[in-house]
Amino acid sequence: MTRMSPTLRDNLKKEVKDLTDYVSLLVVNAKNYQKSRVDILNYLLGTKKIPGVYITLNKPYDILIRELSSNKHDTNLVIFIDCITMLKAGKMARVQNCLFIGTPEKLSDMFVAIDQAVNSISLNERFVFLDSLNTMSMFNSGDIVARFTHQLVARMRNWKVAGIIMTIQKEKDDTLLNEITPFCDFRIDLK
Amino acid sequence: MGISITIISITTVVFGIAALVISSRARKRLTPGALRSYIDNFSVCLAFIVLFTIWQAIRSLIGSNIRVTGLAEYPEYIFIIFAYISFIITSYRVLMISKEYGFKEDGIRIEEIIKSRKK
Repeated sequence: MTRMSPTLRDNLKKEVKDLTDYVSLLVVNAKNYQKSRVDILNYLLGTKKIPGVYITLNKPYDILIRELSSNKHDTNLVIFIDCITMLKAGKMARVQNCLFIGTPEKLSDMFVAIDQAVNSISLNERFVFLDSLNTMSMFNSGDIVARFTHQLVARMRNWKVAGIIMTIQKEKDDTLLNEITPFCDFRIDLK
Repeated sequence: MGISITIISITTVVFGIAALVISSRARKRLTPGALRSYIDNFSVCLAFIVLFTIWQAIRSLIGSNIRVTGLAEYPEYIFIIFAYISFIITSYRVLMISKEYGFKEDGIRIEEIIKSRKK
């Protein structure tokens, strides 16, 4: 298992403390994106050992499975909502723990899928990991993404989950981030 | 008796149209996908039921003065037949949506894994 970067681990420990339900906005730069994503999964699945829902808009399901398996994580503990594979591969049938949503524009379907997936895990500790907000904003307007995120954060609080929303810091325009930051409990910036 | 049937018919038509308007407003808020197609199917069912009711209401209104029988009944049957066909299609779509979006079995599997780890 890869080791978590001390900065991210310390920041998470500091902010999360003993909380089981929170909503965190994780802002990383493009260079740190891969490592931070793997670190977060290591933290949730390795250290905390909690099941959850992974919404992927960047990496296809098969690559994520390969990645998690190579880090010796139990992939059965995660329900994947894949909004990227069908963009390349066309229509895909549902596989055991993954639902393929056509495109990242299908926000209503995504929301229904997240709701169903989270509620199917009736345990006290669960996570919801959204990867990533900036990809979502490539396919939808800023207002729509902000509204979607606001709804999602509100639901995360109702579900009482460990919610992590990941995004890549852009050089110039951070209007969306400024809109979303107040919805979340804390924001971690990894430059 | 005739007046009360007319009032009931008109009220039913108003409710039906209101339901169609509400569904249309719901549809406008949704992005394309499974949920929106479901609302489309549901609206078609509703539309046929509303047409059926409108036709009945007209018949009851006209029927109070002029007796309309025979041919006038056929559209009613057509509307109700199409309504039920649409219901079958909609139910099938719901079944497909439940197969795609249902994670109950995954949830049970996850809970079993967590429980077995705690033992």
